[in-house]
Amino acid sequence: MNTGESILSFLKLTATVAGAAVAGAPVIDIFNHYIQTPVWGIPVTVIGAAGAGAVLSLFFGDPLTTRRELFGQTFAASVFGAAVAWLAARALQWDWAISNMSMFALVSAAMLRWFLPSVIERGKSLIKEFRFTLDQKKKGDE
Amino acid sequence: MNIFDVLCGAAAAVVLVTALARLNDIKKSQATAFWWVRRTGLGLVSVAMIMIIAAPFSDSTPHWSDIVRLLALWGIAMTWVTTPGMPPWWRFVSRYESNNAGSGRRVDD
Repeated sequence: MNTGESILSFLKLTATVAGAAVAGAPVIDIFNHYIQTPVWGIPVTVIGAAGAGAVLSLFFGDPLTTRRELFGQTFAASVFGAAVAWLAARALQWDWAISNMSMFALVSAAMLRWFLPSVIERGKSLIKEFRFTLDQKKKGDE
Repeated sequence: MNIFDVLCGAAAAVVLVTALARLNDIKKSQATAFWWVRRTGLGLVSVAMIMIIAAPFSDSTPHWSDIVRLLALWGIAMTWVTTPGMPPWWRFVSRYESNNAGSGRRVDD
């Protein structure tokens, strides 16, 4: 390749790179467009620790038999674990819990994952009993 | 939250669902060190993915992305090494768990 061809090749390369940069700029710009999301004010490490509690609780005990139970309980325990730890520690002004928020969230989530299903079942049965009582009263009134 | 977070979150959701499903597939009887390494790996991956998904909705803390990197890398490494039949590792680790390894699927999708 002589000097003229080298210069021409270099110019072609420069034009191609510049064209690609100009054409690709809007694509890169898309990545900088911000979408408004609610920020809950809970540190990401606290949510991570709550998730760790929910996942750790899966290590022990009987495995869940359906995917719905698995994903539902893990999600619920992570969210409620983080929320309970954050709200309870601040509402009751527990200094030990505020200063160890992540570990508090971990334990809360693990306990919630075990107890939440039985609490929900108990709540359902209470609602059924309550409806039954109301039905009886209505029948009696009639 | 930007498009970058959305793209990362979508992939993290896929990995999280897979890790949780595989974690739940490990039977109670599979209690050797091999399976505890696998449980730990799947757990670490799950926590890392939960943090990636939750990050746009929560306050960032110092070095949180370093924590995610550490959890995800060790989680993937421990899971991959203990995946039944996974070359080249299975040749070395199968001596610790040759029985009861199977595909591990327990729950019908």
